[in-house]
Amino acid sequence: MSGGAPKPAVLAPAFLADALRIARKDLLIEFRTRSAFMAATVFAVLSVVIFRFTWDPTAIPAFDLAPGVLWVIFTFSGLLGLNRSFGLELSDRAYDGLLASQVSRESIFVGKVLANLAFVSGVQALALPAVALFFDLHVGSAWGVLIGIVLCASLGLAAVGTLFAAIASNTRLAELLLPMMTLPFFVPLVIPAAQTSAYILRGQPLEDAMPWFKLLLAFDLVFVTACIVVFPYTIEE
Amino acid sequence: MGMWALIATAQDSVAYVAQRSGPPATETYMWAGYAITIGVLFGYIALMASRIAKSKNG
Amino acid sequence: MATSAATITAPGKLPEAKPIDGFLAISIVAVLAVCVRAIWFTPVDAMLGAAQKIFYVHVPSAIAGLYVACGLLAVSSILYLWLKDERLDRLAEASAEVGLLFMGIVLVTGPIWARTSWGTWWVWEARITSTLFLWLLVLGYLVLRGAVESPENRARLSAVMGSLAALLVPFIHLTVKLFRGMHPGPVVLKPEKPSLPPEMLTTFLMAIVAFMLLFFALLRVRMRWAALRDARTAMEAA
Repeated sequence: MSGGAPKPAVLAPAFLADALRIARKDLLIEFRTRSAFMAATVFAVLSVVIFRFTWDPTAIPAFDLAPGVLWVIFTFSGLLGLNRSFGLELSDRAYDGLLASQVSRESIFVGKVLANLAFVSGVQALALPAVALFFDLHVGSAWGVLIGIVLCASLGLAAVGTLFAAIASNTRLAELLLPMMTLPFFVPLVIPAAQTSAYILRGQPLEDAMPWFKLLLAFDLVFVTACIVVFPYTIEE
Repeated sequence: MGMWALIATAQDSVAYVAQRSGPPATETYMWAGYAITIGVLFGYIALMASRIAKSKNG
Repeated sequence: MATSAATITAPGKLPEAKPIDGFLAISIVAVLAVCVRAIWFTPVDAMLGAAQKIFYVHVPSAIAGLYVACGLLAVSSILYLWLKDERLDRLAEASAEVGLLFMGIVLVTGPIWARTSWGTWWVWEARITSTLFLWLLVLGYLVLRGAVESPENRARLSAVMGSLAALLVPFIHLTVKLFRGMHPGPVVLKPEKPSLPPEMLTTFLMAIVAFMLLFFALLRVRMRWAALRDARTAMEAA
């Protein structure tokens, strides 16, 4: 990569290439140890089982309970993955090395978001079928829409969560601080997602849930942009 | 009959005592609200006083 | 870092900070006077009884803690990222803490009032739910501030969170409103300002003025203490 002022035509692919490279690095490290992914999936499956066994099917129909279960699992298994997001580089001060390289701050951020997105989607790929199975849900043709909702919500969670993981990595109580800071931010993300999936699981068309779905998309748009803009400020000069 | 109706309404979930005339007797709630407000505000002033003292002398 | 402290006060001297200055004294008297007026010199609401008078402390606290404090927090965080002035950081810190206080009053007096008018302690009504989320958000902000050691990092990182929190507020409002729109709220009493008879309206307006005075007085004391504390830390570090 040449220093100086890169031409715009060259900049975009370099940005994406850097981001993907960083995402790949993070995912490879995670794949080798698999510790966070295992923790998140075990958590997800255990939660489903517990919810299933504390549920009275005669009192509440499955499609009323399942969205809540699904999105609680989504939120907390997401947090498990986010915790390790910046922890990877903290040892051996590898973060400084990364920052000193030619890679732009924004592409570091986007790369980590992509890695977290893959992580969260991976956990959901296991949790969704588990919920559908244990709660005997008849999803049928709604699978596509449901997966779409999960991906949109995962994007928002990954963006906001990665940013706050960057902030938390500067503090003493990172594991406590991360949920404390992020959970209020997840509220306008998880509630619309849960409401939309509730409509879908009840068999209603997506149009009925459009206000909620539009809120979810608006959140993604605003916060992915905002987090990219604000990320460089989390780094010490 | 009127007496029983009065007792029955007094048992409902709303926390006021039904009376034959006039507004319900909810003074305790008012006092609780004002006491908490004043208590919290003065507590904070006291906290600030102690913090300032500590910063000046500590 | 030491130079920016020196621009505010002479080097080696601590900045001035009094726990109760003239402004705070006046606002304390104002608040007490308004409470006296509300309790003894304002008519009692015929439907709800004396508990309705909580309205005179609940609503002004909400205006101060929710709108003014959170607005100041948001604006000073964004401006800090741009201007890097440590006074903006102290303003953010102070508005967060004093705002938390006033929002706390809202969250406690609200249920007390709700118990008498709606029969339950808590109701997922749009505004009190938003207040709860904002309270938790500001609490998280203050915990973040407490967890960062270096003052520059603390200012910078909390300004990032404050700026994002500013963006979040409309989303929380929309989410809660959309949620409430599906489940009709209590029919008995609307929490919006009812059309008030003149004596009650006067008390209400006086209460707003008194609480706003108190809010700004407390904000000032809090900011002064922050300057004192930071100057002291800088002195001890040097």
